[in-house]
Amino acid sequence: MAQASLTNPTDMRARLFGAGSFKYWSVAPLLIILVIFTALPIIQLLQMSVSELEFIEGELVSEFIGLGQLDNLAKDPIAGIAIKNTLVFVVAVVLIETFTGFALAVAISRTRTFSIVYRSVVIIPLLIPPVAIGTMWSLIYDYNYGLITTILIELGVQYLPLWTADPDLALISVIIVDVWHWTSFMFLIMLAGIESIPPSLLEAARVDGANEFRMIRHVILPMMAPTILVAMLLRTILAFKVFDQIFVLTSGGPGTATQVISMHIYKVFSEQFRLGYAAFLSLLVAAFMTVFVVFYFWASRVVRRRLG
Amino acid sequence: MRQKTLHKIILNLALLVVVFIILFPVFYIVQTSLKSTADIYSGTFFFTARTKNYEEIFTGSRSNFAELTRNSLVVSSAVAIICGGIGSLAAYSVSRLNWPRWVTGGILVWLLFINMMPPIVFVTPYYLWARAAGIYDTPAAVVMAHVVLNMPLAVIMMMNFFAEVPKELEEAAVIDGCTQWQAFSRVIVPIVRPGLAAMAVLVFVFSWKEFLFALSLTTTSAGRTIPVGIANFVQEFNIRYGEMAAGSFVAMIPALILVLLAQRHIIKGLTVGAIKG
Amino acid sequence: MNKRIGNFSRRDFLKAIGALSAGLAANPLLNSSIRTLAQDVMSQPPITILINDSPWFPGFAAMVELYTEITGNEINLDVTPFPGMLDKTRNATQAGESEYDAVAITEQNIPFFYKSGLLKPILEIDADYTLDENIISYGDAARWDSDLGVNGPNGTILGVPINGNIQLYYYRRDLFEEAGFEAPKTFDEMEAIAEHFANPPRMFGNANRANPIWWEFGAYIDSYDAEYVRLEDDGSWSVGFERPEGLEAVQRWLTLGRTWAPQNYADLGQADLLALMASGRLAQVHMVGAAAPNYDNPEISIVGGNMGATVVPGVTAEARSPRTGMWVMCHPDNLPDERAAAGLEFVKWLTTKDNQLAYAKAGAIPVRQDTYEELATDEVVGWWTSAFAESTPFLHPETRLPETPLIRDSVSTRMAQAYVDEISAEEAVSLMASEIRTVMEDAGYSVS
Repeated sequence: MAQASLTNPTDMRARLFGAGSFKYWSVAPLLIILVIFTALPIIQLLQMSVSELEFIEGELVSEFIGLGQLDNLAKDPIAGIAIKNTLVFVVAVVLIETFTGFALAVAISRTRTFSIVYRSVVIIPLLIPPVAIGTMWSLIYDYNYGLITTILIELGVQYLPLWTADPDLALISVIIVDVWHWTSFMFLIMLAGIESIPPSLLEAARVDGANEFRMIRHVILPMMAPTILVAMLLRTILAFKVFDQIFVLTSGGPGTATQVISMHIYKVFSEQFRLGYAAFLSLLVAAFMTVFVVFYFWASRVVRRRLG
Repeated sequence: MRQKTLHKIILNLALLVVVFIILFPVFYIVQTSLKSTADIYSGTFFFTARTKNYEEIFTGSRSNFAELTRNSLVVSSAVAIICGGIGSLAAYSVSRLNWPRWVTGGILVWLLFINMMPPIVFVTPYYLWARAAGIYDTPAAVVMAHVVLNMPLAVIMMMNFFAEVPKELEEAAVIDGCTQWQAFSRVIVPIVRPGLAAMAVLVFVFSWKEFLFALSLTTTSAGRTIPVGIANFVQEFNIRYGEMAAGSFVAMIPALILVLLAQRHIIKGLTVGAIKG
Repeated sequence: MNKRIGNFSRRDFLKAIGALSAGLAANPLLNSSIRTLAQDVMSQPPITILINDSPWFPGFAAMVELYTEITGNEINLDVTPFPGMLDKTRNATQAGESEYDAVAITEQNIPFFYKSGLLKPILEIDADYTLDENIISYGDAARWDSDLGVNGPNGTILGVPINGNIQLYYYRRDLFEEAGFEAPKTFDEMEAIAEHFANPPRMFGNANRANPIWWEFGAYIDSYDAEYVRLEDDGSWSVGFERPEGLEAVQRWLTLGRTWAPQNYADLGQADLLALMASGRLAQVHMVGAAAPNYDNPEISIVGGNMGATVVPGVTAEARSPRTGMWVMCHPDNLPDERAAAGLEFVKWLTTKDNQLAYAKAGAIPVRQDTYEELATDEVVGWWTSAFAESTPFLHPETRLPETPLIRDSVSTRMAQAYVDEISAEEAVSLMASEIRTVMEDAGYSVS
């Protein structure tokens, strides 16, 4: 069967309709979608990244420049700063949200009576469009008429933080909003992970007299490790692409304190219409993401090997 | 026993604090939705609550929130169902059905690559396709884009959950005379239902929030979704906070109800007929 | 006949796929097969206009309704948030046939679209069209001189102004009268006024927009005669930051922007400036003219009836240089003639004097000098329409080059850094000078 020749009609029919056919048609819809909807844009993107494109008399003309985009990168006043800020942002939010998401998932998995309330509440931040999140938080942070300032003045506090207007606080302010917004993402995946742990395992540990902390440390955490890593991987890629939320909240300021690379790519692509350079930057960022992804896969293999 | 009760109280108290932190900005949204812009600018706690912003988004001359909400619900549900179905089938196939490593690896790399690209690179091709296929300015166009964009999340998440399922289960099922499809649908899926539910909810949520394609592939409220309507309130120098807050709040409720119902349904419904693990 | 898949034929589909796999020749994004693919998509719809959802939109929408009522011609509007306009226009002009019969293009995107060849010259739609001389020129915003590669009086008409937005200087007339101040004409006077009124946190003397520092700063740099780039008589381009006045302009901006402003001056956007002024906490502000009607709206503002407006001050009264930030209406090149003509018909109707009067009263920003002059004594809008009329001789458009977005990137980044002392004003100026020079030289301009 494995050696079945493609030209043999009987084998072909067996593959498509026989007992083993499930293997093929189960993956077929995905492949069809990938080929039809993503093959062309990906080829275009790769081609653009080594070209310079321009509209001349209504036609988009492309000129091959090889690695010429490296020159543009060297001249770019923002890309370096933006990549640095993005890396800080990504590492901070992924680590914080992994912790908060895990803690919440463990805690809520222990509740019964109010479980449904907690679960609903936690989903809410995910249902608000990022534009609205950015706008509402800029209203909350605003120094002149914002919520926090108003409360602090009522409380008689003398020192009023500037939040998004303070170059030292701006990135932290943005991270706070992100943690509020995206912890739920980690929570949902991790809760599913906890619920997938066979109850018999937890029972066994409990019978052995393990306390809560030991249960988490020695049963839940190791069982959950692969799921946690997948959640971190997905979240890392998402965090690299953070856009609307920061765009509305700070537009990258003050100074260059909250410039992130996705905002810069958008500007290069859309406003400056340097398609080639934007494609090149996208691939560059993908290379950074790949470092993280490779790490997660390596960690995941180590963990699975330990688990046996 | 007493210690257990104490634990429970502490746990619930801690969660109450978390609930408060999460809901605080949401309360603020509700409060803002009841204010006039002048009251928002003055930053006062004391104001006369009014429902004008809500009236504006539903009955104003340019209001289309009812249509936008309907589109959003249709699009996000469709995307969740399509991604859930195709994604989990494919995830099962590549993680369990002995594909050569280059196939599994190739699909994974492909999915990761799409996920890593800034979505804007897909905008122009999808626009041209939607126009060519005659689905421009319909929810179908938005569904098309969202399905593609969310496929990586769906497949990668489910691959993880399928990997956790012990191999012996499906082997036992096949020995019992199940076809592979039956083993998948009756044995494996029920086991991963928490993961499936989480994946469907996340895909729903991502489609619900998405702005770029919902804007680029539509012209009118025939195809647009809520984030586009919300973005129209954020104008260069005049941000219509009140209406934006009202819109965000109103839109949140049907989605929340739908998500909770779906979650329950997936977890309960799939339990029925499951072979006990 | 080919089998139809949806609305396009299988043959076209295969052709498209074939074109992709064939390595995409020279032209990956705008694939000619995709162009033909979309050719038979749209039946002839009533006119559709792409318009941005800006605060002046209701005025535009009112005129559209009026047009339909009067002429019976139906108009559909694609009302799009500002950040989506550029991409939607670009997409539409790349399809087989544009979905829009007319598109609104903001001033900063003029160079890209005018140069690209994606727009239909107005005279090709209507050979008899002439730009009424009462329509303000805004630095020849309607015309593109392809020899110079910039707007010019001898260029081809590619768009018609439909929104005459410019910068204004706003002040609290009531407070100024009380304190015996005249509306200022120079930056020095502005500083004296700011100093007088500053009483934080209840009242701030002045505040400037920081997100981003570009458009309003243009009025400073132009007034100091240090335009970002300028075409000299000998045909070469000069870089303003290489002149000593460039640094003076930067320092003036930093002083006026930071000294009498709220502490969060580094994070102020246009909406914040409006909020500060509308809530009575700002004595004067230099900002977008289209915001004027907001100050009379009791929903938003508590200072209605107490506002004054005039020309944005400069180094001297003569050197005042308010920037323009207007919109033109254009017609994509990929339109059949009758659709483009139908689109132009509306634009012609909209820009007549009488209709511009109605336009202003409905809350939009007219483009005609005679309209502004006639409205200058109007009880409701007179306080700002008179300032628009007064500003016309001083208007300075941005140098509209296809490279301007790159110059903007440099200026807004370096100025933002200088604003929060990430770098010094001197460093900012020398970085901007060298970055702008590189941009110009790379693009092949001769730079003096």
